[in-house]
Amino acid sequence: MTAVRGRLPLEGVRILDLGQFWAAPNAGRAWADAGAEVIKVESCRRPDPLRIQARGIYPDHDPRGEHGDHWNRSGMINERNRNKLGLTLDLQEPRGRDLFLRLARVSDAVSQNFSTGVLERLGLGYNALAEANPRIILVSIMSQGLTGPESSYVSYGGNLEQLGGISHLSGYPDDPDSSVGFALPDPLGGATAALALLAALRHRDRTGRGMEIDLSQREAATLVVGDSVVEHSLTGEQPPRIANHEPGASPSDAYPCAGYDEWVTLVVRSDADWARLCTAIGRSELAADPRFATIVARRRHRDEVDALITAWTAQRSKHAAMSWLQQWGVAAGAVLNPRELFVDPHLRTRGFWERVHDPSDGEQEYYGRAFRFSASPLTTRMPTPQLGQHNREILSGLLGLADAEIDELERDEVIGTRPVLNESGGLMVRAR
Amino acid sequence: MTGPLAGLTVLELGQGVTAPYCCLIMGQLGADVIKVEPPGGDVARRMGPFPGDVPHRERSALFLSLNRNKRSIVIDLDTATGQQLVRDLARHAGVVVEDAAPGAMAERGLGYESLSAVRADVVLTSITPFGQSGPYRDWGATELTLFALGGLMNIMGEPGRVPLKFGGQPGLHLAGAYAFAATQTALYLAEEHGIGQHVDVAILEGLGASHFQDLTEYEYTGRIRQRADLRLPIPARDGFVSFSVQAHQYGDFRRLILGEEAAAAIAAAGPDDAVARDRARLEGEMDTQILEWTVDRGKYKAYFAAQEAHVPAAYLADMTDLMESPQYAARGFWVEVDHPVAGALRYPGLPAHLTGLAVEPRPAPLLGQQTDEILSSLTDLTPHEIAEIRAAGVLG
Repeated sequence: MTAVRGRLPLEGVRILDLGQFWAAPNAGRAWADAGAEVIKVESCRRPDPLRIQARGIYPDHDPRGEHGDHWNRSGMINERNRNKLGLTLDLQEPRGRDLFLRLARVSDAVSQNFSTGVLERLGLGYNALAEANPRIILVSIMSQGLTGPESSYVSYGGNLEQLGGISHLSGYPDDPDSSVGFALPDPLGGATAALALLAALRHRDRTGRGMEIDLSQREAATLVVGDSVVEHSLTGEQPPRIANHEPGASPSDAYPCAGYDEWVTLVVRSDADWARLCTAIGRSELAADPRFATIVARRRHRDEVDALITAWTAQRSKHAAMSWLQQWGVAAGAVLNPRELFVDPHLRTRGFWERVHDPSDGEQEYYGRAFRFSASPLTTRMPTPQLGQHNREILSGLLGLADAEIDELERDEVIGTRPVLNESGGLMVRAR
Repeated sequence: MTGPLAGLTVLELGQGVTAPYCCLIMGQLGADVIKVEPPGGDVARRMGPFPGDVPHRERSALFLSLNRNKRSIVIDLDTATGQQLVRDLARHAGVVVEDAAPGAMAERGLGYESLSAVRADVVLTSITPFGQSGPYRDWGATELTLFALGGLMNIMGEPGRVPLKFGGQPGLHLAGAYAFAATQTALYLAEEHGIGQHVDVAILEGLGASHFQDLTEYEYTGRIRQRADLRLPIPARDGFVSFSVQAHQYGDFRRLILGEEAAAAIAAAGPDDAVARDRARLEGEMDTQILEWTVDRGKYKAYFAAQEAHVPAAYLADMTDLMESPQYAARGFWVEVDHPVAGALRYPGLPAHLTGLAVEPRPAPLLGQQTDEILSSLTDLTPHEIAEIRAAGVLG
């Protein structure tokens, strides 16, 4: 067994990744990071839309760069498709479809998040794939799932936060007509898809049977506020918006620090925490003050508590306040911006950031992942593929196509390395 | 009925949200999850919310929602006998998930070294705020402080006001989902090649790895995105709706709100002007026409009408809306489970259906409900010995 020590967990698994935008490519990256051969399949007429964004993110705001290949320079694409191979296939072309099915024959799974029905219209629905390869697993990472009256509705992550119940709980308590969020259902959907496929793969390996996985990002969103749903089911009440005030804690909020828009969060979970906080801010006499002695009392006198803490935090930098409070055993965290996150000593020490040389973007640093393995460390082994970068390698290596056949596919624009865009530089085809 | 994780035994040494959420999904996918609780039970049993605000360890919404399809055994891990019992159980467990402070399990002889000594291919997944290493490793943390340190509060809230995190504890749930994905990845290697390992999950890094664009934007351009994403849903008679219209959908949006004729007139003024006007409508002062349209219809009708016209829209769903969602009903998302103390309740099911695979829903266990059953089936202890250990205060 020691002979294979150091191998990556998913070596030998091949996945065709039709995913686009955020959730599905994130799932693809989870498998690719773990050693699976993940082939990002795009088409020149319909590349991942994050390659072609009107207000995209490019190095130094320069989409064109040295080679004018803005579709390879988008930060949004290069951040989340690392460790994958890149293939273009025009799936609306019979030869493109046929090549995809031939690849499905030698693959373990297909991942996709097109709108409902698109894959079937391309002739690549589960039945077609299973006919080509009964062992195949198809994972569909959908806004609202493959079935049901709302399954064809178009949504983005922010919509799903609202439809899934997260937004109802999130925002300023005195402002019911506002809400906050950042499309959590996307990373969440990606992680959920990642684990679902791996569980399915285990079953497939034991039984030889492939299957279809029908994932709803809206349902995934509801599941992470599942305690509020069960609370409603148990008590009949709507859970209140509590913003930064964590249950069972008081005080629990962000407090302003010295400087403009600088904040430190702190959470007091017990009366002992409170006594330590009082000492930490030089007001140990307050620990015995009956106005603040219990969580209930501190909630009742919240304005006074907030004023006492703010008087202390406002004199200090957020980092100084955080370190000092932590020394006294009070849970505290500074509200970090991206610049501060990139230099944060904890994340640096843990090797969270990964330096990658993107062929069109140069040296960039991207975030890593939520976990690390002791026996098979995961890294960024390859940058995000350029559009169609591995066409030849895949078509000849996996399907045995001759050079002349590949040349012909290129000439007929079944494959390619440049997107076919409309007059205003946008996508020709919109599938979602 | 069977699930894809049939035959896998998981030992959960976890409390609160992260490890229990990870194992909740494993249980629903067919794993036999043995939840080892301390004598007082998982802290979630004491956290509530409770019906009528009356604390009861079998009626906490947080606990009930996170612990379905598990068996509960109560073992005091601060006793040598209890620690040995866990090592005995670990022989049967392909996966152990724990969320103690870094080093705390090792001190009890339940760290990776000890567990891999009883079972070489074990996957031990440790979930902590900051991970098993690094300068903040031993710091105190909650979901709030981790949202701050993970950089997400920087983009949540209104400029000039206090930054916010989400309500509830979705960040901790997200970490549980990452933990499962990591565990299942490691398990692939363990089951195929007999290689176990220690999986170190950091909640902070889960949040740090969940940014959409602000980190990459800073890396590529130096721009620091400010808080500016306070969403202003549009009032409807009975709640709020919102539209997230992309440039290519503005035509549909205009036809929806203004009608065919007026929309054509605006389009005739030139596409760029029209798009700018639509964007201003949605991003700034929404005009009375949108407001009238949504108020007249109410949130459901507005949502359905917009979506049927290919305009991405949502309503701000409260818990009742979720319960009554026709989409959730059609997909069978809710599962009704009867609990001996809490009664019949509705729970969210799995967000992913695997064709042909389903596991019968079971309620969260009572505290220590399966202590005897687990010990007599997985260890050599006789009923008499179990009674003795219980009398010594190790079991519950």
